[in-house]
Amino acid sequence: MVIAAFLLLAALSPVNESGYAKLVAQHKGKVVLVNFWATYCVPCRAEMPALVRLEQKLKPRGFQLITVSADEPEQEAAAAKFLDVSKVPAPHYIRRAADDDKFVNALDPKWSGALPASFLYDKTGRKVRAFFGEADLKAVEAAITALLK
Amino acid sequence: MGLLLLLALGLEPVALHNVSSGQVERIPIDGGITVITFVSAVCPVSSDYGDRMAALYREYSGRARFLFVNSNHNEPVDMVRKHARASEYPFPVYRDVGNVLADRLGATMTPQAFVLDHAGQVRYRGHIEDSRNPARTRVRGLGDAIASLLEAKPVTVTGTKAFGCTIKRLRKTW
Repeated sequence: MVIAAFLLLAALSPVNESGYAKLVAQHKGKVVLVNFWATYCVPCRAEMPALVRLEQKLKPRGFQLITVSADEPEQEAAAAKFLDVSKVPAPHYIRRAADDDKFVNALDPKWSGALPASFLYDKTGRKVRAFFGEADLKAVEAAITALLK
Repeated sequence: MGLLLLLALGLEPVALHNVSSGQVERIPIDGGITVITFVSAVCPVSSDYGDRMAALYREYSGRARFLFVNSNHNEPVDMVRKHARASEYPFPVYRDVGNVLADRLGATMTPQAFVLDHAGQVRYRGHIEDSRNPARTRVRGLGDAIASLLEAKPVTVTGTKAFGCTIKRLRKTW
C-alpha cells in the first residue's frame, strides 16, 4: 500500500537553463504561465489552488500552467506530495541548475530569485510579463486572457 | 551604477529595533565596512544559513559592522526574538519596522546580504553562499566580498542570485 502510494506521486523532471528554454519552446501555440514555487514558501503554497483553478478554467482556450519547484533534492519527495495533494496538473519540473545565479538571470535579469515568481509567455514563446512575489491573481488572469484572444 | 546606489542609499544612520534589548538604535552605515543581511524567522532557507551567518559574524565582527535585519511585517518582534534565541545566534537581530531599510537598499528576499564600504556604497549584493546545503557550496559570495574589502582588494563578484523567500513588505500608500 505504501509502495503503491509512493509510485503514484507526481514526477518532477529536472530542469536547468537550457532545459528551461526547451520546455517553453515545446509549448508554442499555447499561452504558458511558468510558476516557480517551493515547499518552504508559504505564499507559493497558498496561491497554488487558485492557479490550478485558473488552469482548469482556461485550458480549453489554450492555456498551460507549468510548475517549477525550486526545492533542494532533499525536499523533492515533499514537493511531489504537495503537487499530488493539491491536484496540480502536470507538467512538473524541479530546478537542477549547476549555477542558480545563471539560472535566475537567464529567466529574468530583474528577478532576485525570491519566491513565488511566475513568468507569462505568449503563443510564440515570447516572455511578455513577470510576476514577482505574491501575485495579484486577477491581474494574472487578465494578462492570460488578453493573450488568449 | 555605484554612484546611483550611493545616492539612493544616502548616508543617514538607520533606525532599527533591537529585538533583544527592545531599544530602537540609530546605526551609522558609513565610516567602516557594514554587512547587512536580511533574515526571516519563518523562512527555512534563511534559517539554513544560520550557522554560516554566525561563522562570518565570529570571523569578521571585529573588523566590520554586522546587521542582521528582519523586514517582514508579518513577523512580530516576539517571534523574531524567540527564533533568534532558539537558533542561538551570537549576534543581535533587528526589526526593520515599515521595511524602511529594505526599501532603501532594494532588498527583496531572505536571506539576502549587502556589503557597504566606508563611504556607505553598496559593493556586494546577493547570497551568503550559493547553496542551502553547505556540502554543495561552490561560491561564498558574502564571505569573499567581506574579505576583499578588508584587504582593500576589488570585489570581483558584486552581485549574485539564489532562491529564497520574498520579504513581506508593509503595504504603503502615498
